[in-house]
Amino acid sequence: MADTDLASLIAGNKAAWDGFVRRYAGLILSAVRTLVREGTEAEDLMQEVFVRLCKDDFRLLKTYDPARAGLSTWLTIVARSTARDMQRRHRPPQSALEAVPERLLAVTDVHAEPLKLPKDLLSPRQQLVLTMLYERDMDVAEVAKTLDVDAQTVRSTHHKAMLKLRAYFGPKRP
Amino acid sequence: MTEPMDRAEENALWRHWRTAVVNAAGEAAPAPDPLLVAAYAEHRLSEAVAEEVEAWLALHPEAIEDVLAAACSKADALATVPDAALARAMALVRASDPKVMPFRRRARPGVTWRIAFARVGVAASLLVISLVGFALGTDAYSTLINGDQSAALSQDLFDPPSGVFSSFGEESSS
Repeated sequence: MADTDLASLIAGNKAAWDGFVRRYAGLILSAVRTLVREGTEAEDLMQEVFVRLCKDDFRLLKTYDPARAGLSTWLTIVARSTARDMQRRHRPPQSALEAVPERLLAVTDVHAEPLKLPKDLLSPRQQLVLTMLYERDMDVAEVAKTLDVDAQTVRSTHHKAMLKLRAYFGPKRP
Repeated sequence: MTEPMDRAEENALWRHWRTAVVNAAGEAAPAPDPLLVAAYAEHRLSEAVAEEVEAWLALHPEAIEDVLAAACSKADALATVPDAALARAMALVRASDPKVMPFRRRARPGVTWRIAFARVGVAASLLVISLVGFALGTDAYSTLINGDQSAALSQDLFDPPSGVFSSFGEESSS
């Protein structure tokens, strides 16, 4: 969408808003559809995204800066985070077993000492590569594409991260 | 990438590290600005800023899907949106009718002064009427008390002529 259209949209122009909805409703629906199963729920989520965009005199839409990211990219992020927030609000609190701190699950053990992890044991990039590979089960090519690096860099990052983890959790700390 | 045996061992190492990180993280960090995540998805961030986003993504694997979805989002290849859902979203912003003039109270500086003047006029006329009425009443009373007719009138009032009730007395006696 041209900047001028966006400007008139933020100014409250009805025709600009209708054009915006017509153009980006499909994108927003696609973005939220993968998070839900039923069609109606996806449409409700799409509506919630549009509500969020125009709420408080287009407060959220005004934060968009075309110089920093494409509108489609930004809308997808906004749509999915809005959908996830809504789902979180309507769902009873639950968390994956791995996400629950061990102290809450473990049987009291007087010999157990809390594991203190060095803050910079792994770099953010190494953490993200491992998360993508092991948590999301992505393959190396997907990770490389997401991070905009070549596959060899991903392998190297993974290898270095594993060396660090082995050294830390290895013989010294069985 | 690695042999199955190594993969299992690496996975276990990852889980171990992950649990320790989640334990150490405590309160969830606030989500970065959607524009920042969008810029990250388009690889527009500097290394230092990208690291911040990556550190957050490593702790929020579900948001990695958002980045992937945003990176391949295009406004053209989209889901079809039902007309009713489109209309519902469009209705969020109302059209302003050019025939309808916004209601505004005209600022009339003379109004207050005029109202005050009218009120003073009404009060003054009420005062004049009451004074005149009082004066007229006083004159009438004086005339009655001091005039020639006063004796006759007072006699009529307090000592009515005997003829008035004479027939009545006669009838009753008979």
